[in-house]
Amino acid sequence: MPVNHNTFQELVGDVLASLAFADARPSEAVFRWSQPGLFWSEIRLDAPHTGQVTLALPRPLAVELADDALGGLPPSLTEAALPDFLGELSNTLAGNLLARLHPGKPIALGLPQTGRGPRPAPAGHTFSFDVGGTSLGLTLETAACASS
Amino acid sequence: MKPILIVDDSLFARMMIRRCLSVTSLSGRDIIEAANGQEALDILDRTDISLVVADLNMPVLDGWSLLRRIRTSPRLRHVPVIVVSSLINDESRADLYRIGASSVLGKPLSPKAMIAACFALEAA
Repeated sequence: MPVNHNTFQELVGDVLASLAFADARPSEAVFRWSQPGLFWSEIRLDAPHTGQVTLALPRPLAVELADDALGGLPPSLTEAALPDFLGELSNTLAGNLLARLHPGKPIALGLPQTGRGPRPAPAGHTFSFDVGGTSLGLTLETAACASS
Repeated sequence: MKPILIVDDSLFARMMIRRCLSVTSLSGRDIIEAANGQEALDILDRTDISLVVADLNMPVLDGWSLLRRIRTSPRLRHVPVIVVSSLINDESRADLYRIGASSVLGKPLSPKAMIAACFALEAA
């Protein structure tokens, strides 16, 4: 089943609202993967079709979302928990995407990889979201992608 | 009171599960954490655990294998296991119940879902 862009944008909004009480709105802005201070995470789609989901956001937004998700992030845990938070976010988005698209098939993901700093734009379609005035970028790369 | 074992390779996810458990009837129980299924089995070998809360997608030994190992162990087969994962659809939910999951919850995990799962465990 092809991935409808509107479905994916709705799913991102739903997951961010459920996980971190965030209001993520689709934006026309072009996301800059080259900006300094970026935190990113990518995860492979393994079944029933292959692909990759990559998300990136500036550190202050990552801290804010992680803090909101946990109802207060202990300062001592911030540095360790941030990459984990991004990994968990990409895992949750990708898993929910596969579950929504393929309710009756086996679904599988790789393990999330995380990093920080500017990076080349991943292959695929990049969606931009405005979260409280800050940009979050999300790229979906899959052969099952449709632009409707 | 026997402790609860949380199994997830993500520190953040373990913190979320702790937070959700803290508003259930199981609040106040000691909690032990493991980062994958093998670590969980090592802990289960030497500790009496009242409940396992486990992710599916983990390195070393995943949640599917962990659940199967628990259900085929004469000593562990009666330990309740709540699965918490983003990889939950009709297919995986049915398979997980078939191999012995006590409850299956999707991510993002909500306190409400955890409360219901714990209530169902106590009622069983």
